[in-house]
Amino acid sequence: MSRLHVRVFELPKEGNRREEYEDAWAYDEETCRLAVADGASDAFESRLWARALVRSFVREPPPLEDRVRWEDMVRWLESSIEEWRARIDWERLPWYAEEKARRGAFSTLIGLTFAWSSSNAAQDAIFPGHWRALAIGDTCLFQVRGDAVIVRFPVEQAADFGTAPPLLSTRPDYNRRSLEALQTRSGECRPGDLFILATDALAAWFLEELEAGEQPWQRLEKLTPGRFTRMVEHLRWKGRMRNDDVTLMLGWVVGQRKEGILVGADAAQKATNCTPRRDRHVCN
Amino acid sequence: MPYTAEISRQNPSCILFLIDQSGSMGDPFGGEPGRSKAERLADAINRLLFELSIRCTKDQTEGVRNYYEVGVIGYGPRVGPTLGGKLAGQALVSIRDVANNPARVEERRRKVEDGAGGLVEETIRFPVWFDPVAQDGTPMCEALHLARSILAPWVQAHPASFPPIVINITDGEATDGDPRPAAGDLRKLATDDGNLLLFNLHLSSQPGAPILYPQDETGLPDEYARQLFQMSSLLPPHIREAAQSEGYAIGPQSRGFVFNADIVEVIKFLDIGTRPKGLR
Repeated sequence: MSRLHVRVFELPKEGNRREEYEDAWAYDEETCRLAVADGASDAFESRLWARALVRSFVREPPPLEDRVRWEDMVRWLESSIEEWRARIDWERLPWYAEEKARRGAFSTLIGLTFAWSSSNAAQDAIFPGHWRALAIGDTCLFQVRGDAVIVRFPVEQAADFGTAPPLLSTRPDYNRRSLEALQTRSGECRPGDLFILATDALAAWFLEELEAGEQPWQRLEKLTPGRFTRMVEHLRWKGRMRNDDVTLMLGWVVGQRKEGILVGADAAQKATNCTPRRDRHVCN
Repeated sequence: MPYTAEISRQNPSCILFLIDQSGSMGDPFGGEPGRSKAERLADAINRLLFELSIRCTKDQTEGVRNYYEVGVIGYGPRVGPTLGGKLAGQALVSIRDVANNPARVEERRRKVEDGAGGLVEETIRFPVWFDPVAQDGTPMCEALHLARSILAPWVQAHPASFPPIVINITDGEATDGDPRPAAGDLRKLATDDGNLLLFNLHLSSQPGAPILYPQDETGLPDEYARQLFQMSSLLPPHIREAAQSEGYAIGPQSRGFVFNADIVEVIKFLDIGTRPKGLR
C-alpha cells in the first residue's frame, strides 16, 4: 500500500472566479512526490506556468542532491518553459498581450520527494524514511510530529514574509539570477508524521499561530472541503489571513509498527473520514 | 484608514491627466536642445498608457481587465479630451478601450538581451494615443473646472474605490486667473477611501535643479511655484513608499509636486504617481 496519504484543499482569492485561481498543485502517492506553486498575479498566464512547474516536478523532479546544481535546474526548467510557450496562441495575441507574454510568467515552487529504506511499508516501521525538498519563493513546507513542528521551510518566521520573493520564470535571463535563491532541505520521516505544504497566505497564518503558542495543524488535520472554505473565509473576514489564493496540501506518512498496528493511516483515515487510496498523478 | 482601497474590477481606479498645450510647450526642456516639451511629454503619456494596458493584462482569454478609467484633458487652444482616433471626445475611457483603440500603432526597433550575453534588435509594436499640441495660452482654471465636472459623478458612482488621481502637467503660469480656488474645489471630491489627489508636475524652462516632492515652501523660487505647491495633495503612504524606493528623500508632509522637472523626472513622476496600492 501507499506510504503517503495526500489530501488537497484550495480556495481562490475572494472577489475572483474559480478559473482565475493562480496556485497550482500536483502529487503522486505511488512515487511519493508532492509540489505546490503560487503563480505571480501581475505576470502573464502565471496559472499555466505554475501548473507546468508542479506537473513537471511530480513527473520527473530535478536531481535533488545536497546542493542542487544550477545547470541541472536550468535544464530541468526547459521542459516547463516549452510547455508554457506551447499553450499560448502567439499568432493571435493583441499587442498588449504579446508584450506582457514577452515579459514572462513567474511562480514560486515547493517540491517534496521521499525515499523509503524498504519497498514494503509493513517492514520498515523501525527504519524511518528520508525526504528532500526544493523551494524558491514563499510557498512553505512544515513537518509535524506528535505535538511539535519540527521543520519550517523555507520561511521560518511570520515576519519574514516579504512581498517580493524570488521566483522561477519562463525567462532564462531572469532565472540566471533567481536560481541563486533556490534552497534545499532534507530530513527523516516516520509513520504518523504530517507534511503540510501551503501557499503564503495560509503559511503566514500558520506561523503566526505557532508563534502565539497554538497548534494550528490540529485544525488542518480534521478538514473537509466545506470546513476548509469556512475556516479560510472566517479568517479572512477577521483580518487574520490575507485575501489571496489559498492552497493546502496535507501528506500523512503511513507505516506499520512491529506490534502490527497501522500508524499514520489511522490518523489520516480519522482526519479525512475516508479510506486511503492509491492516487496516481493528481493535479489541478 | 484612508488611501488603502485596493484596485479591483469591482472598484476600479481613475487617473486623469491635465496637459498644458500652450505655445511655450513647443520649446525644449530648459537647458537641453532637442525635441519640444510637448513631444517628449506625449511620448511619456503614450508610454504610461502602454504600461497601464500591460499591467492590466493577465491571460489570453480575458484580455485587459478594467482596473482603471483614464482620461487626458488638454488645455491650450481648446480645453477638452485630447485622445485621438476612436476615443476622440471621450472624457474617461476604460483601460480595455484604451488598449484596444490606439489612434495608430507604430513599429519601433529596440535592443534586448539575447540570453547569451549579447544584444539583438527586435521590432515591437508601439501604440500611440496622444499627439503633441503647442499653441496659445494656458487656461488651467478652465481645465481644473472641467476635471471637477468629469470626476464629481465618478466619485458618486464609485464610493468604495481608491479616490481619483489627477496629474496636472504644465510649463507655465495659468493665463485665466489664480488656479488655487478651482484646485481646492477639485480636491474636495472624495470617495469613502479619501479625498481626490491632485499632483502637479512643472516642466522646466530654464536650466537648474528640480525641486522634488517638497514638504514646505522653503526653496521655492517664486509665487508661481508656491501656488502649485499649495494646489498639490500630500502623497498617500503607498506612493511615499514608492518614491522612497526610487531613492527620493520623502517626508510625511511631502506633496505630489515637482518643480522644474526634466523628462527623466517626468517619467519617474508618472510611474510613482500611478503605482497601485494593490491590484486584485
